[in-house]
Amino acid sequence: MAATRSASLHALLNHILTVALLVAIAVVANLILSRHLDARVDLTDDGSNTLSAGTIHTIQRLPDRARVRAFFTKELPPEAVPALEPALDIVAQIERASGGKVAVDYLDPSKADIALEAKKLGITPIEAQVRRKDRSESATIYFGVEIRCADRPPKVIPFVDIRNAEYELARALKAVGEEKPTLVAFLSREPAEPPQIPGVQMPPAEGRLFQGLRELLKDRYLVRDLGETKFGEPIPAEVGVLVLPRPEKLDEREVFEIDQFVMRGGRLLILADAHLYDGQFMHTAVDMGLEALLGKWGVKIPTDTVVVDQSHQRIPVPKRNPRGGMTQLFLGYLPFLRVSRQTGGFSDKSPITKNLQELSLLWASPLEILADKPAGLEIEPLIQSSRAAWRTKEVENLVPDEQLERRVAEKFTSPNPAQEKLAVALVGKFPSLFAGKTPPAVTAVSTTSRPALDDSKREVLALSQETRVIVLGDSDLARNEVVMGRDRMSATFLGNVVDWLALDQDLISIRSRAQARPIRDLDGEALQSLGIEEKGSDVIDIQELIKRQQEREQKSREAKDLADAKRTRIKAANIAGPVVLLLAAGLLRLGLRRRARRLAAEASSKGM
Amino acid sequence: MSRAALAIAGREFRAYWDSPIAYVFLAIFSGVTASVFFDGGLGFPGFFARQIADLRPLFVALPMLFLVLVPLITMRLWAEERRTGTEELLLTFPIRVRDAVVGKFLAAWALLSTALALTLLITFTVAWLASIPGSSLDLGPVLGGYVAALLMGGAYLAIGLFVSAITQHQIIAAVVSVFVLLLLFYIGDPEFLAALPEWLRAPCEAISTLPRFKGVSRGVLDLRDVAYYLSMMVVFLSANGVVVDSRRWR
Repeated sequence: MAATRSASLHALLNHILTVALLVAIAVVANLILSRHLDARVDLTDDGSNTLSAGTIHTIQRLPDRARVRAFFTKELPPEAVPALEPALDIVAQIERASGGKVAVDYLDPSKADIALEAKKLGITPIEAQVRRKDRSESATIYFGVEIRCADRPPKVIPFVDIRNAEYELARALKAVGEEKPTLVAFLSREPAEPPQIPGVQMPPAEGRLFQGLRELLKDRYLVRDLGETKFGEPIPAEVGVLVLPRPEKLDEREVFEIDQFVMRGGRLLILADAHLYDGQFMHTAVDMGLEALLGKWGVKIPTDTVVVDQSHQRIPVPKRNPRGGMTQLFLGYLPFLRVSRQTGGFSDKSPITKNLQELSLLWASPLEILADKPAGLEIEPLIQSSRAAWRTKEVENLVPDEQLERRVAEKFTSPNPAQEKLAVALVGKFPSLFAGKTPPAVTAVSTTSRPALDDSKREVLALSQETRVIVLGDSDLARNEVVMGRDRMSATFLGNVVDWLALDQDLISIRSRAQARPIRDLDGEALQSLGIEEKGSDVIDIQELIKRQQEREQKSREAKDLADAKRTRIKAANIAGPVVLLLAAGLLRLGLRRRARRLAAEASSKGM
Repeated sequence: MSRAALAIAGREFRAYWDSPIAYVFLAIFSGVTASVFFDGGLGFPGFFARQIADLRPLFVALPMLFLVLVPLITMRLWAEERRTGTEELLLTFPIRVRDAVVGKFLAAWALLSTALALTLLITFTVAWLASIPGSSLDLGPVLGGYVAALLMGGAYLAIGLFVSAITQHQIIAAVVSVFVLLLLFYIGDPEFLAALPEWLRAPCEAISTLPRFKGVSRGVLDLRDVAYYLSMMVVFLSANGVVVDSRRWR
């Protein structure tokens, strides 16, 4: 008896030990695997969890070993982990993919000396409100990097943009690896940049409307202002990309220099506006002075029209409340164009736009591609309105009031809606507007405080090498408040444009990835189901449009109810559908079992 | 896999459907899953509020929903046999303990797969809502999510089955399983890890189920996670066999 009990106890102990051993093996095996097995499968169809070829190419082209000092807070608040994890993953992937060419040192600024070093480099933390069990408290999160390569000036990213970490890191690696980044020059009549105080981030000076775009490009390119005094002088040979933000009153000499810059193979970005509106919607017509040059290249910007579109954004409009005081209404504003992939707004062929989803343009001018465009030039529309857009000659009064739709509709250039081109890319060999002519004389406007230019030995180039020009019928999307705002689409688009002009396809391929995929617009569909077309190509006359606009306003609430009802139906079907399926399966099985039992009982009674 | 294991799996799987319990559990599971997905919860806003065509909220919610569902599936598998005395009868059959364990496991896994299959309606709905010009649902992360959910469910089931084998009360089996699964889940929580001594963090993170599902919801299937789930299944099914086998000779 005692021997049996002892054997049982022995067996029990044996089994406990076996189980403990198995668990220990699992722990050790997983510890080893978690450190040494580094294989994973990226299942996304665009490889958004894998480094792009552009990043790998950038790493491979580094002239020397790069050192990344990652000032990342080690103990992240749990709420921040899901947002920061993909960016952390990208840093680790870059190190692994580099084959030793990029070394990452992780430094935790929760230690005072490291925080001090981060501060010296300009790496600043953000404060996040996090919940700790029963209270809310502030947590400091550092997520900045410093990248060094050989003896080149280091690049510092004060806080890595977690939505676009791969692009930011690749751009910084490219910048430290390049011996001479492309020079992007701005030719504008904006006031000169005031002197900067080192380490102090200052708001853009008054009148510097495109400072945000300059700042955006500074991380990657050398950015310089040619300044007003340079108008009419040859564009320096070292300029790779010339930006003309909102060109205005360019004289013949200035146009000549821009023309000759392109003839020398320079790349050009024109942010053109035929009409300017201030914050009070006051209109100023713009004489760009570029019409002849653009016409020579096969592009026309009609100066007497702006584009209005059924696909538009809403803007806040203050309105007097009948019971006193002011209230703010969000009204649809026809000239505030909502360009989206759904309305066919982006070219799928161009790397600049193929991954964009949405973009807003304000008071845009339409662009035309002329039938007699030069034979050696390819002109591709990059951005287009929806098919329900019109040109209107009502350019002076675009105040967002109840009469706006009537006013713009009464001055449509055509009763038929059409898809308007809003940005075009020109590639190829450009003919000169000044071929066979002598350089125009320098006028008084363009000679301000400069010695006279000697043009006697100046050769006028008649045909360019292969080069690129982009014309955009709106400059507002490059203004500070847009580029530096929360919506990153304008910044993404403009970054893509300049990268394409600077022949940097690597960065375009990285930047445009990982955009969230949208779902069906149920509100828009509800509007359509009520007979209000969002993007029809049928002929609609002015009165019909006005009627439809009024109908639209009246029915918008009805459409919202319809869309909400559809959402509720979808949700209910998903919740109740499986339950009904299970109920049906249960009843079927119950019936089958009862039948089987009955048959069995009958069989046994017959057998008796 | 032996015929005996498959025969046991078939018998157990049919047994689930003989009582209304399976129907009730699955109905609750699918209803809660769809509700969390469309109305939001567990750190995500609802699907229509997000307006993003993916199933991340579903795959983030599954590990937590499985914490409750799996113990309900496994609680009766061994405990009920012991309470009613059919375990002894089962073990007198000319089958190996291994076959009995694997058979019960496969039956439970099949039921869990049925539960997952019910969530496919959500996938079809999202795919339909995402089918617009220039965009569509990325099926890679969806496929990866379901594969990972099956693997994770398998690991949870192996643990639940082991717990069921060491007790003869279904309720105790369910409660202990929930406790063990919760423990394995939360020992990987960053806040919990931060409170641990440095030397204990790596082992806890290595065996926790929490960090495993994060990558897959983004569309990354990490082979370390696959190895982890498989190792958990092997270890707990082996332990289950050892426990049952020990009773055979007692």
